[in-house]
Amino acid sequence: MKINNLKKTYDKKVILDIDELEFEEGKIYAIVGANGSGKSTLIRVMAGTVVTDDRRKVDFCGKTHAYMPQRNHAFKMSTEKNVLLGSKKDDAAKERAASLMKELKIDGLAKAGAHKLSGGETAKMALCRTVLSDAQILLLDEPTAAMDIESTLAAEEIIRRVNRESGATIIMITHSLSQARRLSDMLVFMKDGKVVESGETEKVLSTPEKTETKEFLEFFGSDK
Amino acid sequence: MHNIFVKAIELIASHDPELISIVQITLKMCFSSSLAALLLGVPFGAFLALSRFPGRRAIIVLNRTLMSMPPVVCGLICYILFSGVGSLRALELLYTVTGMVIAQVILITPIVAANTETFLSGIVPDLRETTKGLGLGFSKTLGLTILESKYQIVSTYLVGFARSIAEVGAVSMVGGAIVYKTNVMTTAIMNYTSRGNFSKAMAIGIILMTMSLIVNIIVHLLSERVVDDR
Ligand SMILES: Nc1ncnc2c1ncn2[C@@H]1O[C@H](COP(=O)(O)OP(=O)(O)O)[C@@H](O)[C@H]1O
Ligand SMILES: [Mg+2]
Repeated sequence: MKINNLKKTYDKKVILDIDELEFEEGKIYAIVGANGSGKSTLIRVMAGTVVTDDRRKVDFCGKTHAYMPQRNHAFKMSTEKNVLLGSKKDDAAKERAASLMKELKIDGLAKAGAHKLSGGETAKMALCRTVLSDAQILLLDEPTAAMDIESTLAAEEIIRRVNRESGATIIMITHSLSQARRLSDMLVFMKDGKVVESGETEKVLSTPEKTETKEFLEFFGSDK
Repeated sequence: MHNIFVKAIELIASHDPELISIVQITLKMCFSSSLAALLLGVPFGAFLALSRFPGRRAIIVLNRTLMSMPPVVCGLICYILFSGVGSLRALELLYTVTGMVIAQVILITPIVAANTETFLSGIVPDLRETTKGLGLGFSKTLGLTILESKYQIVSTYLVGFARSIAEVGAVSMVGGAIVYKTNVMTTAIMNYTSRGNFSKAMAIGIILMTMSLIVNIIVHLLSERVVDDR
């Protein structure tokens, strides 16, 4: 899957300006970069919730995709119903939902109103429902930002498993370089709406080519 | 004062036909105008919240201005339109309940629209990202949005109802407070008071306050739900 000439302008300011970016099927991508570097805008454009200046859509080559936004809406219904929103409501789906919720330790909240969940619990619910949609490409905007460490690791395990078992391509934004190192095959570093550098995660983290990447890595450290 | 109050209670208990007529006309007017305002205001508010077009901000500001339009100004405009010199005189709306309802709809619709716009603007951005992210279509998203708004819609309706039942300026100008025809609770209180019939005025006041109290209790309970559910 290839992206080219994506441009998004807000109030005459160019927020996103990507010449070319390629995603290989079946890999886990981590998009990193400072706040306001355009990561969310990129993933929104891919998800189709934001249109580019020339109103072009990203071509997923016929593959299905699901997107977990940074801020997820919890509908005024049970957590379980929220989780099943984007999937079939048959017994198999319900079983999978239950086991995912159990992994993220929100199984006890299945019957509770989802709008009463905390920020981290809402993120877990949203991750469950995005995974359950069974899409071939998952677009995740900081899925674990609100989760505690234990839950973050559990969420990473779910993402890894979806990638391995169903071969889904994962494109996720993260603020944690250590998460990128743990989880991703490929790293995309963004700055000021542009992709500065992208490549295999280990390679980019250990031997970055561009000075901007070096500065970013030095500043954030790799232990964060 | 005490005497008036006792007499007022006695009047309510006595099923005075004039009182009953006043309450009936009031309810007919209030249900009609609040329902019409809801049917017009909710789609309009939703449109303002969901669409993006040049001039949208201006319309929102204009709508907020209409929200605070003094009822007598609304009454004046309707009076001119409906009266012998007005362009709508052929419809014979002056001194009719229908005319009163139209005046009230002009007053209440902006309130309904503004409430709806504010509420939806708050929930829709995240909601739309979420449903679109899950690949849900337009009709499913619309259904979910309505479901999310159900308490808000009912409480907005009741706010409109409360405004309608308490309004006097526009209603007295357009309706003329004709007994057994267009006399509603607020205009009746005014007329009885000016004629010195304080116990009848008080009787209606008690009924009016009781109804307002009930409506406001429901609104309060619902608004707690709305907050609770956020
Ligand atoms: N709807 C919008 N209107 C105006 N500016 C926006 C909008 N959405 C994002 N921006 C701006 O675009 C920039 C990039 O935002 P975003 O893609 O969310 O960054 P990131 O996710 O990398 O932190 C920010 O400066 C933000 O203020
Ligand atoms: Mg972001």
